[in-house]
Amino acid sequence: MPDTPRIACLEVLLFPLAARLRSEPELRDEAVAVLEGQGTRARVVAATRRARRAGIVPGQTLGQARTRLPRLVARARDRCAEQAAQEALLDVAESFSPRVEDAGDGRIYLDATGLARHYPEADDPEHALATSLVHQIEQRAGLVSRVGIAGSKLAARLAAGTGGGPSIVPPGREATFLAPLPLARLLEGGTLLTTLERWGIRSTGDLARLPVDAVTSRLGEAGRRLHALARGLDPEPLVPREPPPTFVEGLELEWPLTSLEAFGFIVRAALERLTGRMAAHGLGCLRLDLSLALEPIGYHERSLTLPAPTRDTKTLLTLLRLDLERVRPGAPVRGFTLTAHPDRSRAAQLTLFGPDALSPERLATTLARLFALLGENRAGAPATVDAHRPERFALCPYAPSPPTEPRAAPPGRGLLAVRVLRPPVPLTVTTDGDDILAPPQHVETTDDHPPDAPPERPPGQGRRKHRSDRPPRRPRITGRVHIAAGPWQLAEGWWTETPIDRVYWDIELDRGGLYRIYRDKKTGAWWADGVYD
Amino acid sequence: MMIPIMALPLALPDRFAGHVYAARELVRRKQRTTVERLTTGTRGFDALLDGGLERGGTLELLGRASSGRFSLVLAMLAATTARGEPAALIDRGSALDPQAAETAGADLPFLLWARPRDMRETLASAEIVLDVGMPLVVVELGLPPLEGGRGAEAAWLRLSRAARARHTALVVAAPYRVSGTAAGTVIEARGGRPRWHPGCSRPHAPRLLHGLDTRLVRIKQVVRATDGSSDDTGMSSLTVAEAVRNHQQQPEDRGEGHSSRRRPDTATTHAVA
Repeated sequence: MPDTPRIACLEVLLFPLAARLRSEPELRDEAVAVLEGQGTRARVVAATRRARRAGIVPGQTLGQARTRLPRLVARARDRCAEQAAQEALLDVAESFSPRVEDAGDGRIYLDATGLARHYPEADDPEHALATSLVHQIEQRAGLVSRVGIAGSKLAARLAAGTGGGPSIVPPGREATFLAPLPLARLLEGGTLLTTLERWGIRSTGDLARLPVDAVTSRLGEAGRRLHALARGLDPEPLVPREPPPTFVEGLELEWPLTSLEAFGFIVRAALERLTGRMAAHGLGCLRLDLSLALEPIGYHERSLTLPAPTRDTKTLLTLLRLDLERVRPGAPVRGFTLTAHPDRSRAAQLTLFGPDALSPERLATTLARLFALLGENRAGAPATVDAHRPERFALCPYAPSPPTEPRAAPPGRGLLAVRVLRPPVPLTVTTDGDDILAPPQHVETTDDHPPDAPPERPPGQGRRKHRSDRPPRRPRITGRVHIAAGPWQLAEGWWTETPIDRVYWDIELDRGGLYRIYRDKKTGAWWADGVYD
Repeated sequence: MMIPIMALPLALPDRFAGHVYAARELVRRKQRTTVERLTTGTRGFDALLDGGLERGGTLELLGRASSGRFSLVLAMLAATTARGEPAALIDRGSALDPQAAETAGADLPFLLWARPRDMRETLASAEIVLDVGMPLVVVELGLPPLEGGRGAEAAWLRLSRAARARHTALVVAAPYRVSGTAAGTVIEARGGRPRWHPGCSRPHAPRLLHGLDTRLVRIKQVVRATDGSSDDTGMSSLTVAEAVRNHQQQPEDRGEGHSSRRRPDTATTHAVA
């Protein structure tokens, strides 16, 4: 007899906060709030229990929150961390069931049909399954979740929302489970909910007891669907995410190759076959593995990860060539195998009135070409780092969300920007006195080696022959200090092996120029790390 | 008597001849008035550019260190990304501070930040990014000296044509002229004057950097027909000559380009720390 279909819904509470705490577990016991938005528009989206007890609620601005709790730890919403947390959740769920649907924002559904038979010893096998899921998610993904198991996605989701441990809806009892629930759990606001409440229909059971014809004639198709849901009939199927297949192309060569150029001609044809096959599936290459069979024996394995799925053969070939120039096989090549790990090419939903969307395929190719030209960690979307040092930054994958309605241009803030000097410029500074906090009087660029010199150009990219290949020269900062504003002291990581302890000054030179300089309190050395421009 | 249609304006009395246009001329006039512009986020700057950055056009923004040039660049990027539109910054020198950009109002997920190491990578990155078709691409060349900056006019011309083809506003921010004839508009940020706060007379009173006053000077502006085509009636050159007359008040001038006799237009901005 076939198993009754069962669906489990796993939900991570306060997902933006949970994803942040997964990255910063030391904050778990603190009063923390996660905010979304910029500047004065930032609003609280989630807060820890300690913060909530102090009166921090979603929707407050940072100023309002800090008024209630001055020592509140504020964190911006981190999409990268949320994506990683969602992937971790999916990894755990896929270890239980091969059919998992990613509903996003900390929620997933998995096909739990027949899984209970793995717990024959338990009094309640489904409850044991749910408990095991919650436990594994906490152990392996570092997330606290709740679970509901029912015969449909809707009932499972609402069961997960009841809280207080795993919630199991017995097969065929979905309507009974839903009956006492308020209608607002089915409908998140809207005119339909207002209309029903005005008619005195407040619970799901009240709606389910009404004749379906009467509901449909008064509320139309939306009413008919809602009535079916109230009776526990959810036609929405589980849409499992399919692990994308891999595509393999290879060739055994008639004679071993020693030249990279000749090898490039042969690999190009294989790449074209690969990309053609991926195009037929609507997929792009996200990771490309190359395995070279060497003469007389041995293998040389390389792997390239791309910033976004692409099918551009020229870009893939350039990346392969650059990689092989960097790490040569060291022996003649008698054969090769290319394995492309694909992913769905990004699609964009166009709007009639919104701004033009970027072509996802073209954007993916552009990013891959930029990576091939500049190397990794040289292109992406900038992100702020939660640290005190002003020169710190992070780069995230560039994936702008598709345009929706055109937003009005906000008024410019007219703020003065700092041009960061990377690496900082070493200075020789004459001060007024020997005190570490003494103001600077005269500055001059020195030839000391900067603490964060840029890495050498990767080998294989050729000698610099032309002026255009030379990196920017260090600016000369020399002159008498006309005005010095400061000092501002900055300390970070005192408990680490490389703590930062600096004294900052804003200076204006008599010859012109506004600079941000600092003195390292440990070494006494001076550096210029910014130009006000 | 049959009059050829092209000779019709000549056959009419003067008071009517000026109101007769060929359909092609009407289309061109309509196209010239519908140039799409992006706001720079700075009111004075927008006024100097007749409403903002021209999509498909190339602007060269000049300015030495502490002239306010970089603040204007960030304001442009913030104005575009805050509207939910993508923009790119090709940052030779890696000068961007993401925190400052966010504070200036930029929506960082919409900003593509490329960090080339030298001029060759800068030009190549710009060419790659222009192919996407973003509304705004800013090439920030950093502080002087620019190794390999001069003598690359052909590359800048190529980038300018790519920007026109992709309907992208290309901004080249440099300490001195590098783009040659590629830029249709050249604006210089001059005389960045810092303002300190407070104006207290006590000798050891603490000071704060309040902001920077900048004077923007329009060095060059070329007005083109938006279809980019040359008019066989010479309308494009006439339009340019009209623009030159407007700027210089010397009706005998002809042709595009800039002149040292040009009286520049100016605007003053104040950036707050």
